[in-house]
Amino acid sequence: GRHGDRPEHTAPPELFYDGEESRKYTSSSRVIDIQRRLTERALELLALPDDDEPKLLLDLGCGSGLSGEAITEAGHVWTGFDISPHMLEVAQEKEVEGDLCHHDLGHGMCLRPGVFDGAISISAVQWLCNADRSSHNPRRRLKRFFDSLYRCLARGARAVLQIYPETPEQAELITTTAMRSGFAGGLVVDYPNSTRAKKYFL
Amino acid sequence: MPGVKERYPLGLVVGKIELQENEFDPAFVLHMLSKLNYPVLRKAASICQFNDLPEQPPANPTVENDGQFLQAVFHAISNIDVIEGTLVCFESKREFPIAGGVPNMLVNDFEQP
Repeated sequence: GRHGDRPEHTAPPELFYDGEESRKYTSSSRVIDIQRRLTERALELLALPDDDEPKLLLDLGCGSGLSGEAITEAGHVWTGFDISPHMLEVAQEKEVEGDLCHHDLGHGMCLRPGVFDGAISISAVQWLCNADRSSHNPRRRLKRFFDSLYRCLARGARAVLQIYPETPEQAELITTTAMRSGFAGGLVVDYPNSTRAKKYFL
Repeated sequence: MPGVKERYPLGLVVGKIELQENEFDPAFVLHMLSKLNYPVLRKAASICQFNDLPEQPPANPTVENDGQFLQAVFHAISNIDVIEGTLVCFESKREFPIAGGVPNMLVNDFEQP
């Protein structure tokens, strides 16, 4: 059923997060709390210099701006990308501080090289593993995403991507593609012994 | 997109702008200056009817000496908000609409290499 199953099995993100689902998602206090805590943890792992100066960050799969608001609260400036027009509309209504861009991460972000001080992504990148259309090739989409991400980050900048991998193979595919694009690092697993609380940060 | 060599900059056509009044942060502006393509910023600002950016930026701007310049840059990057408009690829003529301040950069799958 729709609620017990993974959203990735139901429809592509731009269709799953329709008007109703977007509002339901973004008004649930449980969801708001989870996304905020995931963002704070991702920012912690980003390990930005502690110099009280705002950094320029990417929020990949920014959705309705739940993660973006936490970035703003942490004192940074962000640019968000999302494929769902309904989620972006919610973000616009909330007048989030970040700049929003309607785009498909699987096409790669056409950003200038070396510009961003860091990137985070909350609960989004596993969507790239879907083949929602016959023209989609998950491996190619992941490669374009990671190649373009690597290129637009400044030297020494990090990306922290919180993901919900469906299977260990999926986590492996995402991680391997990132490494092939030039990233060093690995997977951090919070609460590894709890099925419910377990969280993956690449 | 296949065959397009010059992807930056995109042309900008403006329909509607909003001006915000954000708090001036000179350190942030200096940080951003090192990332920006200044001539492109200046051109974009002038398309938005903001012509206070000098043709040549100061060589090593500082907060003490170049306050006015930094404020002008800040205004361009933080306060000018293009609400309705279009981004245009010079080479392919492909247009990317901006609505509600959000550019739509989606391309069709068949346009991908």
